[in-house]
Amino acid sequence: MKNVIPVSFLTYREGLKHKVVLLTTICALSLMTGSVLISGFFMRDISKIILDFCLSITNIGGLLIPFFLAITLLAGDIEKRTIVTILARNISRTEYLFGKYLGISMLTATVMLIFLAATLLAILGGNFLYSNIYFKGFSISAVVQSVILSYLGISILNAAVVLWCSITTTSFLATLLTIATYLTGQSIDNIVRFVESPPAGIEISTSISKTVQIIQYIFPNLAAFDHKLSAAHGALIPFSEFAMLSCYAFVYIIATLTLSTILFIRRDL
Amino acid sequence: MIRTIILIVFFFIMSVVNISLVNPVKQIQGKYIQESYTRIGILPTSLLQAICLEFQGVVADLLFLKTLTFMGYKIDQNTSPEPEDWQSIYNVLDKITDLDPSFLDPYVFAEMILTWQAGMTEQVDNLLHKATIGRPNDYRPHFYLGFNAFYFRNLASEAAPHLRKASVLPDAPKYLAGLASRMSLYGSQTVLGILFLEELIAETYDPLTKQQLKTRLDALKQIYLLEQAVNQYKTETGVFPKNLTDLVDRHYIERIPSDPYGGEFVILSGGKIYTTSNLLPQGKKN
Repeated sequence: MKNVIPVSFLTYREGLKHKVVLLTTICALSLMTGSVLISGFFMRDISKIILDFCLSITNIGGLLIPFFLAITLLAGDIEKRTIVTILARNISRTEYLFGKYLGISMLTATVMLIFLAATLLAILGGNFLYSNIYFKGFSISAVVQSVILSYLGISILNAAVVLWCSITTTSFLATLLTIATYLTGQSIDNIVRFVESPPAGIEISTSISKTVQIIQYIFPNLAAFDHKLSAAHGALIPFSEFAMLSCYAFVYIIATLTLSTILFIRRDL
Repeated sequence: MIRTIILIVFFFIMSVVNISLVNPVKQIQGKYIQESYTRIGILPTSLLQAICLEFQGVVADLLFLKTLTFMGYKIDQNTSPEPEDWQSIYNVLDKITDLDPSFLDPYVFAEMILTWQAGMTEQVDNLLHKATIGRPNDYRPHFYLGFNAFYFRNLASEAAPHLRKASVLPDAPKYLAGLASRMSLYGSQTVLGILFLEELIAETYDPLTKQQLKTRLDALKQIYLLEQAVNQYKTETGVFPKNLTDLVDRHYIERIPSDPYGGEFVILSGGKIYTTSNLLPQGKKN
């Protein structure tokens, strides 16, 4: 696995060359400035409003990586056949996939760190423009914890991108599957709870119930990583829950990357 | 070169046309504001939560902003919201607080507007009960519940437990501790109303809202001044004054104060002070 790090840095550098990172950062920073101004339209929950907007933008910024850049970097290699040149340099397919994943994760971390810094700047700006009485509930630990959890959720989606790129032949299909994974991951928890205890008068067929039960073990529960709302109100989640979610993300990523490797090493390039 | 100039001129013309179309488009959109706003309120909460994905907080913020815009639109049109408009506002506030039960602004908005202007204390109390769960360490939901019971329904026994609960929560104003027991001594709800509005003004940032609250506070202070004069008149003469000029004639007050809402103060039987404006802005009705 000695080639994983060089591949990851190569991917990272290649990602930075795309203007996408720069442009999304500029857009996000502008939107965050806007959030400070918008928060003035509200009566008293100014800190919550700024954080709602900034944390959502941070998340959207992070999501741009798996939805667009990661697919360009991974599926682009396969479509343009540059993967053949890379693999000819004594780099195994496993090293290639893990390296690509690490590079994409580093890109996501970079983008989200910039957004986190902008969020803190927005809070400072809000504090300066309005009064600190509206920022009593602000907790930097809760904000950082929320961004870390969002990052873990997006990292799972990055692993899904690697999986879809390793089995599909076009970037378009990989994008569609990634979007489907995201939507399923965000709503599976609600659907499972609905099926488990349907409202009075609604009958759920056994086959649908079983299908939903199976799907929850296949797709990631991405909604569990969303703690933006509690962070906006300055509330931290307990460390045990944070550790459990981190553990879930780590295990899911490893499992997805392993499956990707199994499928990718059998693929005819 | 000529092509570039033609393109620049064409772009300039299109920009001017675009600018001239902004207001007509705004007017068309204005026609549908009410319809789209009403539709949000009837969406089932579970569906709304599912649509919002992981952005429930920011959607709640935007819906609240839409509520403020809707109210602004009504003011802009110089019309007072109709009962169905108030119901739509309540429905949307209910959805907002389902998405984010800890969001304080919708509760404060409901308390400031729906109770005073629409008389929807029962519905506002429903929202406030949600707030007591969503904001367990905040004294305000209990304070507002107590205030509604005492000020709008004149039920001191119902108000007292809420005010006692509010008084032991963090950052509760010191006067709340004794308020529950002193309520019956005030003889009218005006003092509590003044305290309530002063608390709201101290914590409100929005200048327009602050101004509206100050107007209401000013009106309540005038009523309190008149109530004190009436009580003094009754103590000294044994009867209530027939009208406010009696208070001026006997030098209990220098002049009859003016109602900031444009109404007129009158004395009801039993010495109670009433204003013809009913503490509502005197806009042109539909």
